[in-house]
Amino acid sequence: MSPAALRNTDVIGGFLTLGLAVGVLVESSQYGRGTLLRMGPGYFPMLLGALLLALGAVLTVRGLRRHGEPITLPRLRPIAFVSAAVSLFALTLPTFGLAPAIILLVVVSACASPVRRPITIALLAIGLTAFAYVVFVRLLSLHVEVLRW
Amino acid sequence: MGLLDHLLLGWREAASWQNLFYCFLGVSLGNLLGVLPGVGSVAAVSILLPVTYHVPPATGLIMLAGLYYGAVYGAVTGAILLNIPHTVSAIECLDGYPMAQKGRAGVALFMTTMASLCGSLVGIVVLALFAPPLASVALTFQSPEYFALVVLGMTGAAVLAQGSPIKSFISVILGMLIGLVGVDVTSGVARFTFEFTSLLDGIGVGVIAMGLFGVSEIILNAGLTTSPTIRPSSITWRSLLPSREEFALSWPAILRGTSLGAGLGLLPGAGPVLASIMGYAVEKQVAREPGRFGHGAIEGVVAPEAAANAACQTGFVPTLTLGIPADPIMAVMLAALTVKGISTGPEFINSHPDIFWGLVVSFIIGNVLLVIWHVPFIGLWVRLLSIPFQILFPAVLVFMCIGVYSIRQSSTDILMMLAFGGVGYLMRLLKFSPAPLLIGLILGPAMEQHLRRSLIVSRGDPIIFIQHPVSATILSAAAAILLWTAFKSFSTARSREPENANDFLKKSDQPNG
Repeated sequence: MSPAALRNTDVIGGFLTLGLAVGVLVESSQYGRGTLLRMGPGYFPMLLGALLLALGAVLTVRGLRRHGEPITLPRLRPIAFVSAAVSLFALTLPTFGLAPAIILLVVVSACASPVRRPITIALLAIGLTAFAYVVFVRLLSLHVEVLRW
Repeated sequence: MGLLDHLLLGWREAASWQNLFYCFLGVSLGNLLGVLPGVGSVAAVSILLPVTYHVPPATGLIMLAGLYYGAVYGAVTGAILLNIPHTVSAIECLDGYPMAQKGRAGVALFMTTMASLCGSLVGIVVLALFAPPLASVALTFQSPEYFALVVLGMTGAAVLAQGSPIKSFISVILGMLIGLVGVDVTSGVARFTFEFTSLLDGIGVGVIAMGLFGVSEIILNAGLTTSPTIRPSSITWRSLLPSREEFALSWPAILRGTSLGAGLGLLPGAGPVLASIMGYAVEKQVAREPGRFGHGAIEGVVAPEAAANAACQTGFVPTLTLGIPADPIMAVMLAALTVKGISTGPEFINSHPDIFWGLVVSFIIGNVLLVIWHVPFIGLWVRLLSIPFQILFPAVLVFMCIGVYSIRQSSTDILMMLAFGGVGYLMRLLKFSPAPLLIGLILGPAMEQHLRRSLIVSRGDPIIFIQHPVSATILSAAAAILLWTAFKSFSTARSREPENANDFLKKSDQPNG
């Protein structure tokens, strides 16, 4: 079994499913299974975990035998910038207010694209802040501070 | 009360200024987002989900539904002009784009609009006629019947999703597990919360849907740079009119597509995507010269469009009368109603006639609005296609983040949405369709409850599901679908002969749901 044969979507997906299934079974076994007549809170999740275990096994075996589709490598640039932008928004909003949060979100997320025009991005940030102020704060009266020092 | 009284009641509800405004907003945004590449309709509906928390339930539903069928109108524009496969209109690329290359873009756009209108109106009639009687039949249903319906809905969702059925089933179960997060209503035990107090109430559907579809689509498409090849000026009023031959070919195709779509939409689990694929397949079968397909055959554009729109409308029958969503977008709409404390099911039409009939009338208004909006401003929509994605996606991110925050004023929810964006991206990389996950999420809790209740009634004997004739029939239908899928995947694994339509959908790299 060469490592390349393992790098297909079925095998990786199958392994992840098996791992998840084991996790679900272990966690839900602590909830109390009960009987068919009086199903405990753990009964249904354990059922799902068992199904997941079976499906994961089928998927893994199929991937090993048939060599499923090879996985396309994730593109790191959009992942990094979009995650950073959204996290920054979540952190900035409660402490500094809506306006700086939106500007940060727009500027950082725009870096995810291969095409970056600074002036367009700046105008977009200002325009979206104004739009969000009118729609969310004024019209929908969302309780959020626009700017906080 | 007769049908006319009901429609009058609906008219009073739908024609209020507020509801007219939100209907207009919904269909326009749907049309807009359908036209724009990179934002799928599930993402679009989830982005607007938070707005529904701030308006009455009927208004919110009218807006979301408008967004839904508006996006079907809009998506075809991108398919014809730029060969952009949005899932619901992916099949129209096959013949719509060749038509555009031959200079018949105007005709294709005009005739698909007519096909959409025809499909929708027939679908609305079916909805108005079939939903109330089905609801009264469903009133006799007990837990075993509902359990069977949920199983059928999930099986349908998994089998009909793009890609491998095994992966789609895993996706459904993953959704059900996420639906279990929080305090169990029967026992009071906190499940899968891992000591996080913010998880005790469960995870909001809006947060999950926006992450799975919105955020992951943005990460996937952030590198997208579109450059439209069609100049808006090339589409004039005169170019919209079909030739006599095109018209003669179109109208029977529209009627075939409409009836097919209206029928398919009634089945739980079969949404507009399936309807449009089937519509195309049927046209290819009945055509005198099947060789024309793929080179700009107008039947191959109008029939799928009519079928998709008809299925869009009749899909509300199982969604509203049984509480079984026809597709992920309907699942989001059900969630919007649940948040308002309204449960769908057989009692829905009787206990909330204003919402149901208001919705029906708003569909008529919305479709007429779409035609008025869509055809004369086709130049505008085409120009919108040239908005670069690098401007669009930061804007979409802003709306999603503020939208999620506005639900509970919680910035933890924003991070949660990001986490589900990661899950969605991973699923797409590994070719798992995220659409069935939403169905599992909505139906999972119902499945557990009905399973529990049925077994209490039968004193723990699972034979109850076969003793009730209705549930036995539904369960055997689900089993038949399963067997058929297993047989089909086994035989294709041996012959490996690609089927035209399915293969095309698998290749189109926009799993928008």
